[in-house]
Amino acid sequence: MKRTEPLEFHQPTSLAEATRIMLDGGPGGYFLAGGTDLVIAMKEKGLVPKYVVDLKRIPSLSGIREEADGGITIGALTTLREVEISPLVVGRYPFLAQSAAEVGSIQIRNRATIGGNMANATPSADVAPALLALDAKARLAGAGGERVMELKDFFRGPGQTVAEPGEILTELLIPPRHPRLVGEYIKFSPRDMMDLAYIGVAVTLTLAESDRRCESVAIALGAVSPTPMRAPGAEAVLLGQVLTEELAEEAGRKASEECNPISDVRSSADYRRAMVRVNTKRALLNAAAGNGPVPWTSRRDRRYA
Amino acid sequence: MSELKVVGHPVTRVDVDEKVTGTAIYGYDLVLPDMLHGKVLFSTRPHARIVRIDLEKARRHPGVVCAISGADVPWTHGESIKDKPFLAQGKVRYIGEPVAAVAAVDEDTAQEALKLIEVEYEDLPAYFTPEEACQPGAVAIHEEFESYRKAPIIVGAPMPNVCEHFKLRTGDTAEGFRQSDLVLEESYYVPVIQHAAMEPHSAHAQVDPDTGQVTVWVANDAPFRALTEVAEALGLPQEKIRLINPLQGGGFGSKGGLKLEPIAMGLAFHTNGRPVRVKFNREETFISTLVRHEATVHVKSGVKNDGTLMARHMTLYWGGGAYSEKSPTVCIRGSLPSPGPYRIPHVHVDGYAVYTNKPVAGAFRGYGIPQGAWATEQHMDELARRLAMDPLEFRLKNVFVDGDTAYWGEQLHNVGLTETLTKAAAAIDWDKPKPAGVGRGLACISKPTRSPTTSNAGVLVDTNGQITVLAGTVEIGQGCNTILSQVAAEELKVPIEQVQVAPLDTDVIPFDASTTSSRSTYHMGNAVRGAAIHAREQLLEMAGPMLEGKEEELVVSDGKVHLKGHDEIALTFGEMIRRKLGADAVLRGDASYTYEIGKDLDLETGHSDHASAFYMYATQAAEASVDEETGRVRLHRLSAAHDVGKAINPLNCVAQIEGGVAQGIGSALHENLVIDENGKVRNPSFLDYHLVTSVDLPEIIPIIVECAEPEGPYGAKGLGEPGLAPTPAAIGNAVADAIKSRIRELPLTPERVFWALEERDGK
Amino acid sequence: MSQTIEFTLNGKATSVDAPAHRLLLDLLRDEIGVTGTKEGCGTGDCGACTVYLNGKPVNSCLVLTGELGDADIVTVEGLKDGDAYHPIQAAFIADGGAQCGYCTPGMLMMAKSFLEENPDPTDDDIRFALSGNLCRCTGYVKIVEAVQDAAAELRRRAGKGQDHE
Repeated sequence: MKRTEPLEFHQPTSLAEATRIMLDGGPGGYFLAGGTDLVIAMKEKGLVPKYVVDLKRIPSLSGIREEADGGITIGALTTLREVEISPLVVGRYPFLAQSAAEVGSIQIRNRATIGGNMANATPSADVAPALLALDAKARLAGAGGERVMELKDFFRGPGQTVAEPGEILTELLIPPRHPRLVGEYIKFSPRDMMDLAYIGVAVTLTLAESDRRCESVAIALGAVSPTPMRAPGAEAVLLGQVLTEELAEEAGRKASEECNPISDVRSSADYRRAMVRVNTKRALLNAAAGNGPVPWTSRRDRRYA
Repeated sequence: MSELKVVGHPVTRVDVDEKVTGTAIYGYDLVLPDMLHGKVLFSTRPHARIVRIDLEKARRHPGVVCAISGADVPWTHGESIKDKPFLAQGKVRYIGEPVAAVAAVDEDTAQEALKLIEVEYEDLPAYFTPEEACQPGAVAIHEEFESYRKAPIIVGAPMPNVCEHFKLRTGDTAEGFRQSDLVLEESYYVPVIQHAAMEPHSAHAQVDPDTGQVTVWVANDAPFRALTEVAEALGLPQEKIRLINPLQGGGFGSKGGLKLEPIAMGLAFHTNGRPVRVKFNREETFISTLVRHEATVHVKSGVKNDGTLMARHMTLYWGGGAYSEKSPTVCIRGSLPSPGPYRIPHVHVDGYAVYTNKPVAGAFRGYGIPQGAWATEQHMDELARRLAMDPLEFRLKNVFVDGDTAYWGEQLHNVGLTETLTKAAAAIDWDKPKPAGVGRGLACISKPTRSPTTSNAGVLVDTNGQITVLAGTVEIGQGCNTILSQVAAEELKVPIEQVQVAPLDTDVIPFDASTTSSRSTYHMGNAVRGAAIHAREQLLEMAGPMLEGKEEELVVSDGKVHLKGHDEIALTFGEMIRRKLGADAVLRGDASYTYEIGKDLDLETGHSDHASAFYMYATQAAEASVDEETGRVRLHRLSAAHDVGKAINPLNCVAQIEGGVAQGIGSALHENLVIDENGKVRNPSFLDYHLVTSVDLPEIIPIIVECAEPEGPYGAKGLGEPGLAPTPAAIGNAVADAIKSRIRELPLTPERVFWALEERDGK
Repeated sequence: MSQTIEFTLNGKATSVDAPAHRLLLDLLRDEIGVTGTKEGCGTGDCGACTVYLNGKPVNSCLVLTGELGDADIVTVEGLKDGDAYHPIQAAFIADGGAQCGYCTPGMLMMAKSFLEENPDPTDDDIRFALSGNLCRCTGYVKIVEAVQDAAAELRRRAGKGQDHE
């Protein structure tokens, strides 16, 4: 990696220290989590940080815990592999565990963190749609103290978030959800693994016990707009309705109209829209079928439902 | 032939200890004392004159030892046409072409110095498909083409930018079409793909300032050919050049010819004797080394209602990229059998290798066969469907069998094609009913090998009875060291553990043509066998007097010689050599093997009475379904039946087939080096250039067919290349069978299949 | 500006002077001279550079030296137990799991870690675990076979160990 100036490397052990180093250091500083995005940017895009603040030695930032109210808090430095295999996540929201498992390889997921994945604000980040479909919130800590916001409001554009200089994404908060909430994440890509999402769709549903009407609906999309997004129009199609194949198809069509994909070397915008349509339908129907955790091989085959 | 003890058995590889312990030294790993680090500045323009190039600031940068451009290395090279400069001279012809290079004390410094090089370009019209590059009026990518030094096989064409025109003329296709009940014409396209060997490219070079000796350390698949090319380019005698081959982390054709060698040598001429290492990272390997030819193939066929093929007319445009590299011979050897392994009375083929402003295309496992097969083997199914014939039956009616005279004028022998067809089909239950939505398809090929060529070998026996094979075949992962060890062990009747293969150094090892074209088992196998027999004969000659027996009474067994019926009195090889030749003597057997073909290829008709030492035959059959809502192809299973002549190592044969099929599946479903309308590679990474991963493959069913070739060692033919050749066509046929619609362009990505389905359904 | 970094490499305390931005892969290969760990892509897409970092397999091409203080690193050179092959190495030899061998060190490290987590895997489990390790030679068939055979051998040894208790 080309570099003529030395890289200052900081390893704070507290949040306050991390923020202070960043504010004192001024422009050219980068927080380092798993490094799977930052190091590639340094190698491929010619990014030359003046200094790096490694967050991995701050103990409070890692781990997954259940709150008294039934919510789940995931520390930002929790690796995607930890999310993928966490019994709590796998048991409660298997589609969230699966979305983590869709990122890169085990080697990557042993390094990449859920907070880094969000803070990097890649439109195709697999975990983002699953978290958005769970109405997740982001907790940030900075010089001005802490703040909590809706995760969807955290993203500003490709690679951009609302975090202020020195402000650190510390936790992702999944509010308590209805015990009957079910969900599904479908990553659509040509290879079965080791690919970026050409599109990603996460849905959650709560179906009434009596008549199976949709009491809650969330549809979130990845890789089809500058930030991971919710599809409110598609959600409205279903809310209060009994989910049928026709309605799922209709919601898929609506979602494909709401998104704003680009054409690139991976896919045309038109194909992305078509895949949003099909996979939103499938995700809804699969979610409603409501199965627990599934091994990856079954997950793969569910895309062919 | 007595019973084979080592040959024909699934011996484990002889080179694997160092590979599982991390001690193997590949080219990329090699560190030389006092080594400098070279980095390369690449062209950012697809076709432009270099108006100005200024290296001064780079030269003055601290830590830089030298900076060079084309003017400092005024040499050209090329296998058939000497058209390629060491570094761009006067103009650039593709984005990624090496323009200048720097050697410095470390890589970071060299990289930094590249930024100080100023290059001014003046753009020229650029062409990104072979068809547009050869249109009348196109600007010449090589203005000096006429004046280049060329091999005699080069045939020009009255079109711009054509570096080779292959012609095959048999019968009268117009008459053939008249006699046909059905005539069908279609076009097919195969995109640019890359070898993507796991080890990226590198080369080390050193020039002795006193003697002028040039030493190159490089994982090249044909070190002797490279040596000749270097000597010719530099105008030096061959003894002034030495190539040393460290281990090679895969090649598949990408590591032949000269790639980084000219850059490393060019720098080494300016470092006062210090060695220079040039390494390309993955992105540089993608944009600047070598790719496979894209090809547009037009096929017109005439057939009788009973399925008899009458005529085939083919035009192939091979996109050669900016330099000719191996385009002329890919064009010849890929176009010649492109009508398929069938009896066809009337055949007309025109193959054009065309310069374009894209990365250079060259040898790639299969050497032109996959492109032709993608067209012809799909075309066969399109004909079969219209004839309402089963595709297997249609092929069986027309395929080459023993004694047939092929359309290029050669009588064929030992043709295992029919057996590969029936076995591959049976392995996927061809005759059994298919579930709804499932398609099946098959494709068959024949492939020639580069002929005539020579291999030499030596076999050393020392006083410990240790056997050392001297062979110029390069271990590129294909297992040649194991095969050649088996041959030597077999002929000298020793355990294979007693055999080693010497490291490859052109100063020590006798000449071999190349490790290409699936030629090594056959040619070098014969040479090593001959050298081992020569050593054995010398041992028997010594043993006769020592054991007081006649030659016919002597038995060689387990590294010893004894008299028939008296194995209690046996002399070890080592003991005999000590007694006869001396305490630390080495006995050496030598042999040379050349397969002389008959008449040279007739450049006007494409005819030859013996174009290849042997032919490889293969059939693959695929079963697939398609997710019609997304376009994703799902492969269920794929059988691959290959006529290998004789499996010297069945384990290795299966490994070659499985690996070849995996590459074939990649090229069928995923691989496409996307080069945009400005000539820039858009996906130069493993993130976006999709090799198959372990989860992207179906069940692969390898089938070994042994239709012995009497001239080959123990009956062996070759197997290195065909594994991937029929795969895309077999899959294409299965997909067409599943979706009742034909896709004629690779790869069959979900998006491509999706739009084909939309078109089929009139959306 | 180099700094002294101390860590454990294949069980041995190691100390090197290297700049913080140096990648672990380059540190191993260029500074320490241990070249068993391979570079295939440099971007985390091929797995050839897989090593153990603090007990977990990671791509060494994406780890900065600055992070390595007190780390525990194991590379392919640390796989053998004295003169004895690790069962994964033995299985790769017996089954033909290596052809050109360039992906092999990364494959071995990943397979070892995977079998520690899942001693009795299905073929599909193995394929899933190895999907981040590209191989261009084998089509993965013999690699999966080798990992299965290594798993069986490791289970046999574990069973034996229990018998003795």
